[in-house]
Amino acid sequence: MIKIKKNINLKTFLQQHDLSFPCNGNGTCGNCKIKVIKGYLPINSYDKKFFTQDELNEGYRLACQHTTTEDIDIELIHSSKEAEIEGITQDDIKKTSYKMVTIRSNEIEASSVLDQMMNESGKKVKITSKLLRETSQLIKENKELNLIVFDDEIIHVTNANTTYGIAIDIGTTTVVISLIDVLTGELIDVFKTLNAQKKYGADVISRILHANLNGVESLKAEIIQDIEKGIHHLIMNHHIHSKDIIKMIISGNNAMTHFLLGLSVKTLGEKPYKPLYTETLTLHTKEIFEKLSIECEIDIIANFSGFVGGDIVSGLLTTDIDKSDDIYLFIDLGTNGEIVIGNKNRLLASSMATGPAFEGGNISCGVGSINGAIDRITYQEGKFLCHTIGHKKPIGICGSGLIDLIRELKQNQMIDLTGKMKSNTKEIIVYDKLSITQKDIREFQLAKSAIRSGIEILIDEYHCSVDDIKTVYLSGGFGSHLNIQNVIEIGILPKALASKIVISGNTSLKGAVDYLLNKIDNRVNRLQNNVRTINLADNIRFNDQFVNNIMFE
Amino acid sequence: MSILETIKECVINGKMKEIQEPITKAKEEGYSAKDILNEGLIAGMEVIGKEWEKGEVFVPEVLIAARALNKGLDLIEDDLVASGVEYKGTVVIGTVKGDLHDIGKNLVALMLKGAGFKVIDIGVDCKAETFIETALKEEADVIAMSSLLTTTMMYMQTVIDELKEKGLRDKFKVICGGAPVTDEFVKKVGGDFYTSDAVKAVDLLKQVL
Ligand code: B12
Repeated sequence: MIKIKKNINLKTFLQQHDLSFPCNGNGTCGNCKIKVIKGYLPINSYDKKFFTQDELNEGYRLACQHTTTEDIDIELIHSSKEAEIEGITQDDIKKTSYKMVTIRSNEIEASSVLDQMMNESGKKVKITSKLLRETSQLIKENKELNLIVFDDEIIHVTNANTTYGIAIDIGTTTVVISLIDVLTGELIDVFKTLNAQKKYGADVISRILHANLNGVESLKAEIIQDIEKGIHHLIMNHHIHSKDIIKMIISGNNAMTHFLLGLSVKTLGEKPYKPLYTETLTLHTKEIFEKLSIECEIDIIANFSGFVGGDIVSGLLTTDIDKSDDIYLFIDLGTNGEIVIGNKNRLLASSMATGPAFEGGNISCGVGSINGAIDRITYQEGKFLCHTIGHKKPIGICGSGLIDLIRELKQNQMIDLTGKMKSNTKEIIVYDKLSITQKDIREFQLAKSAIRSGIEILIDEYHCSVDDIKTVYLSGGFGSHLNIQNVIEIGILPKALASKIVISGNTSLKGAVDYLLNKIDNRVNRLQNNVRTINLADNIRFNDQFVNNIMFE
Repeated sequence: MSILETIKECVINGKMKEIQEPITKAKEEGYSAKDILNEGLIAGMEVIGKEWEKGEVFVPEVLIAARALNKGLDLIEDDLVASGVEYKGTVVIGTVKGDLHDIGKNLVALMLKGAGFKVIDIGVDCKAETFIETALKEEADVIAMSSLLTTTMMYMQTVIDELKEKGLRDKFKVICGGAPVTDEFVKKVGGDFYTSDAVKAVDLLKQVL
């Protein structure tokens, strides 16, 4: 229960309580449902659009359009706190290039210790003040020296037997932090949270706008706090000394990493849609995370261009696209879907402005992938059978559920190929009070067409055909719930690609982990040198294709 | 079916090639260009507009209908001009600076055209000067602005401020729209009207002009 005083704008207020506003409080998506349990909140036209009279009497309202007229108590209907977030598992970690060379205390010679370290390991020492301090301390205490060797350098000296690294994926919606034993490649733990910046808007553009109007500081503070909290949680839980953490990698889209660094995003949100930097940045933890006692380097993975950021570069590292003769297609399905096509010689990238439909936004009964979201639907004997995340009572339909639903509607002629529902149907009930409207289907058609058209244009511009594509990597949040067959049947992807699809999950994090454990910056450079970004807005054929693909086939 | 009805059906079903024949025939039968326009073409677009509002047709169907409409308008244009038919009003429409989305704006333009307005479409990425100079040159009644990006919609204010500065604000009605735009926003930036879709824009402008 949340107590709210008189004259409070509910949107501003509830943003602090993990209520998200996917349509930015325009009153169109219906996601910010609340229930008034004490006091009265007058009913407005938006409430009437989303609730029945009974529900209104019970106190249901849409938060975004209200300012309280008296003190009230409310409940949130679905807090996004329970979101399901895609992480990483041990199977995703293939190898590590870290090695340990030990010099026993009694073997330490009188000459320069650093020289001895180099002689015994055959590697150079990457001298940092931390390394010198640790070494001198260990020698003073007469302890053995464990040299941590990465690639051809000694980067750390310790007497502990394990050292750790941290790889972080900063997504627009979620933040995932993984703690890894760099010597064995063991995944110690993963911390997942929703990106607290969402109170400033669900999509990147809204946050950029917020930063342009009010400065980037608040966004920066939120993400830093998210990460500091997460890391603190991980190292406390596993009793890890912060000095044993020796490397951090961050992967995120342009806007997210710009916010993290407190950089202006003016050029990202409007023409020329360009980031401030495109190379991989190497900074020190102290420059970003003042509250952490960790002292090590942080690499922030390079961006390709304005709309194709480090998360995509990192995602590509999970494929062999930069080593392959065959052509791969990499698709990240999100509010802004990114696509890359190519092989080791030549790559083409673009972004498609899908819109939030696949994340439950702008869909009347849509929700994100949270507990109670219907994620799978089949239609049998005149009834919809629904499966929900966490086996909870259904509270809404998430992206994968929506795809299944549209497929069943189409298959069972409840909508025709233009997307039209049977005459005189206002809505189709899916479960209890959850139903899909004609407007929802239209919204879905726009999102579907945006992706499909983007893919077609990119394949075309690459001067190849779908048949030339060897593998399609589908990355992004709703991966594991997705029914690929249905994705194909409703035309999100061309039929010819059906047998080539690999669902690959949180590739941004997986790539970051690989970057942490193995020396692959040369791969990033190669990707960057070979890629060209195209802007669909400049493509004369996009419009026709987009309009055609709105229909089903 | 009367010949005007056939023309109307051609628009509804987006029959661009087929529309020529009934129009020629209607002229031969002595119908005026105005009749063909009002009872054939406009009547057809009205049906499409109603279906659009109910969600029964979507972007592709409207654009297909529009092709037939445009072909029809071309065929009677000379006669219309000769007979001095009056437009319901003149609208200058464009997508604001920095924004390249035009599908929604095109629909608004089409529906207005299909309802008997003179529409001057200045395209996408339009600067304040372009809106204002075109409106002055065409002696427009209405400036219509579209924006699909939260970052570009602020530009509507720039255009309106520019109008005020030039002392032209009262000369034109300003209507704004596009997915992120709201009624409150338009009021805040000093515009006159907002509608959430193309058909409502037609109804509204019919009332106020
Ligand atoms: C198609 C599309 C594109 C195409 C545009 C093609 C074109 N020539 O128009 C391309 C690929 C080029 C594109 C590019 C971009 N897009 Co885009 N795009 C879309 C998409 C999928 C559909 C828009 C559309 O056509 N809708 C259908 C029409 C019919 O609806 P409508 O425009 O709202 O119009 C109706 C009403 O609003 C109203 N109306 C419209 N104009 C007017 C004007 C007046 C006067 C009135 C009265 C009424 C009115 O009437 C219309 C009909 O009833 C939406 C997402 C979505 N699912 O909606 C994103 C979306 C609009 N794009 C978005 C973004 C971010 C971009 C890019 C910045 C990023 C990118 N990844 O490429 C670029 C920007 C390019 C630029 N400088 O403008 C975001 C905007 C987010 C925000 N908060 O601002 C959206 C919402 C997707 C998302 N969430 O990511 N996009």
